[in-house]
Amino acid sequence: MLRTSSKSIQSVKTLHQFVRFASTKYDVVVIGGGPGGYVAAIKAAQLGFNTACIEKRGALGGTCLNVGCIPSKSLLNNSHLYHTIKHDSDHRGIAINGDVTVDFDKLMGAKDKAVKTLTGGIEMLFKKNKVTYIKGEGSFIDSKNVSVKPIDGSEPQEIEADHFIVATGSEPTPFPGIQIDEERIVSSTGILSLKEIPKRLSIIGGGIIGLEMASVYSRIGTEVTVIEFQGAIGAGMDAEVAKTTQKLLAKQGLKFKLGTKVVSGVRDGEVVKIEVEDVKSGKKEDLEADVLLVAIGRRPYTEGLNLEAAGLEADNKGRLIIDDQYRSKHDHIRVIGDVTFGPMLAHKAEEEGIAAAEYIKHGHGHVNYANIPSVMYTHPEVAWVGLNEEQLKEQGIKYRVGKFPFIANSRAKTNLDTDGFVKFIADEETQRVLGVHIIGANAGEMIAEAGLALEYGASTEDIARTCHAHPTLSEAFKEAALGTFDKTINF
Amino acid sequence: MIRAASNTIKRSFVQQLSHKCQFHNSIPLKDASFFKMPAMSPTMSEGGIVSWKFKPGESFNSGDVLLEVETDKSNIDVEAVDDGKLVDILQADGSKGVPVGKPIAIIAEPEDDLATLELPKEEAAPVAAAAAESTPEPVKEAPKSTPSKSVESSPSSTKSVFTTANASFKLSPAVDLLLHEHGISTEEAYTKFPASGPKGRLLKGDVLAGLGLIENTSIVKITEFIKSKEHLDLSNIIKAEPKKVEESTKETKSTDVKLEKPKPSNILTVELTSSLGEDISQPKFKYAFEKSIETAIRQTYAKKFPQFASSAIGSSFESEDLFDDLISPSVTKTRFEVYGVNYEFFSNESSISTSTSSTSDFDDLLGLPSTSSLITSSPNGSTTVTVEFKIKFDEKLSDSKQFVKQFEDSLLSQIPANKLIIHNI
Repeated sequence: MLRTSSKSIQSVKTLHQFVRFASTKYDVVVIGGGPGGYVAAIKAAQLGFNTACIEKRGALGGTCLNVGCIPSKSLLNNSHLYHTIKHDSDHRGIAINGDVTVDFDKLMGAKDKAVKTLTGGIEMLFKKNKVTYIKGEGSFIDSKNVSVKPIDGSEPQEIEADHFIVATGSEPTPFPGIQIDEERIVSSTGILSLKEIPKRLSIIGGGIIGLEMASVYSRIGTEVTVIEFQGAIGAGMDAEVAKTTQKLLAKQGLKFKLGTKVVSGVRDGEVVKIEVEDVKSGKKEDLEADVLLVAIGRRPYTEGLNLEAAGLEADNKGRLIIDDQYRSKHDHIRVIGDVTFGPMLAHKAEEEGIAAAEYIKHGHGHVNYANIPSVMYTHPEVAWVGLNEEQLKEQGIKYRVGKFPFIANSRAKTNLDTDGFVKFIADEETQRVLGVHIIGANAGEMIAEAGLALEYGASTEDIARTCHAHPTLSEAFKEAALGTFDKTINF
Repeated sequence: MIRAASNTIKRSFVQQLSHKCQFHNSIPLKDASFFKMPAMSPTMSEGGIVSWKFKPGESFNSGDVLLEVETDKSNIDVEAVDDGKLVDILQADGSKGVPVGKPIAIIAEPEDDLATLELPKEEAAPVAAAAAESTPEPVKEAPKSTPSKSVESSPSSTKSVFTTANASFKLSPAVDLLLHEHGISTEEAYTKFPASGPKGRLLKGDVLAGLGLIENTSIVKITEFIKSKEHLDLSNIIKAEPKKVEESTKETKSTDVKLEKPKPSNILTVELTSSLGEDISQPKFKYAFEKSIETAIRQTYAKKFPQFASSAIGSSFESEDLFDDLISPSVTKTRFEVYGVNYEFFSNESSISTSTSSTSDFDDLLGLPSTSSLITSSPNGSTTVTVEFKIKFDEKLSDSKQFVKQFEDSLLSQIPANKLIIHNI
């Protein structure tokens, strides 16, 4: 009965897990199983802590995996394929005989499948790393204990922990006065699971979420209008990049109403009536749409957490207050991700998750906030990292810009996909890379190289002297770097 | 700034005061700051203090000579370029061999009240400060004398963006070429040029500055700006209005009560009684029983999904398994979980002894007989055991109940039970 084969060792480990399932004291308890929380939990477990992760959604991965980054990328990729086949195949020598149509249910199905596989993958990672996954809503009783209401309705259990990592994330910011029903008036969640393709879609907010969804539906035949209060799209983009992006998207059929304020949005039967006003002239206009997407941003989410009981404090925007080691008022309660300060990005939360676990273990961690990339997955993609021209002008720092258009890149030309450019911003005297901004197919992948350059304090000459494969899009990256201090070769 | 005529050179400490001002703009740090031994020449690594021209507590104006410093070559007056106040002198007149960068005094703003002033801490002080000097010439020896790690460990290291170049980093292509063009060897570069890159990486700008081709101040400016962006901006936090605490706690309490009512329908409690033969010790039984649960789970899944015959759900995954699983995703979801296994052993003579397996640990289980927490069974007479455990199943999946039934059957086929009670809690 006492076999010492590896199989029996495995089964003993399993038993150990079963047994631990019933215990209620942990070294580290992570509240929230999104990109920040699940990564923090795995890292904490890998560092040797008895770790549990509480998640009430019923699936791990948080907003990102369930109703954010991942499902939207499925829709973006497949709608792009459809659009390419339908409108961009003839001159490539591909003749389509017969109709090319969208099966919307299947398009949604493909998205759901991607989500399911990935959320299941995290559960497996939890098992592999011995993280206890508690499906329920965690609510602080005091600073050392949480009560978990299991989602299956069973008895609430009390859990004690030496350390907590709060990673409860964010939710879409509602638009004052507009009632979201997730059917006709939707948030970023509802837009990902519409029942049918709307004829007309209006979007409040020309940020990344708004523009990505605008692209998806525009490609499959929807007439899309983007309403933005600011005078430019793509909040936080380099101004030149934002302008070019807008032009490219307008060419694809998106309508933009910039500098426009939404006065009201009401559902009227099967349509939505929207009243807008030009910010400068005050001229009013009535719009009608089948679906209205409210995508004006996200706000920290702490519902049910009972943060008062733990003595956690929030700022005026609802962000939980922390110090530079993610500690709240209590040293043993750390807060990471969207629910606290900094950009609301999955990869930023992941970095913080790792850092928070390391702070608990070693007393130090590392996140470089000057080097967090942003990517918009439209076509062409837009990606940037580091500083933009506006920030440098404001600071009075002299810089040089190097640009290289994809139209002059051999790979882009053969791909018949030449929109966009790579733009480098480097310090005038030292040529240290300060920021990189890319519009172009695959910009989101290419930006990783820029991140590495920033992390190591590279100069643009360092990049220009690094061999890049030919023919690749990344040659444009190298040439743009060269352009900051010398003449480009191919343009 | 350098008086050519006399042997006495007046040097300012622009750098130090201007840095202090920057502190006030960004993060409110100490009110007072250290005034450190300045590097008066590129070759200076230490110096002596001839005399202080001010006493602690006295204010000085920009242009005043603060002290006279003795170097290996000459005596130099150190001049203030900003108004300030001398708080304390740390290295008195006549001190010799004071290394560059070592705090020699504490200075403050002229209007600061010395009584309430927060003094800087000693460990925040040592910095390879010489590099921050606006010297157009390269600093040759100064960086050597100060350990580079002091800069990294010091939280207020923005005083200087420079540190001794870390020779363990490979030179970047641009730096390599630049050195070659100027006939400087790699070794020389590491010792000659202070570095502004992350963790002492020698950047192209550092070499350019070291060669006198650009100003050091350009590097200081850009590096400080980059560094300022590396951390979350946690200044100017506006706290939310305190919520009405009573209300919110009341709310949660009332929902608590509401939610406690519905009884879970997906948890089964299983209780079975079995008698142990004389040769089976209690630990042995426990181990066997747990093994049986494991086997039963595996068999249950294998019935529907043959690929699980060998690897059980919930077992620890070897990394290859995990990889395989990721590239060909699993078709199953966990249907049920078994937990809360509790044993009660009854022997004929001795009283009831209870033990829970919750303290068990991997090693404990492997070294079964020696585990101290376990109860030794009475040598004579037979023992009966009652095992209780819970099964929680996923009611969202229609076949979960079938799985549980399957599991029970499988388990009972392995353990001869006298009595079996299953109830839904």
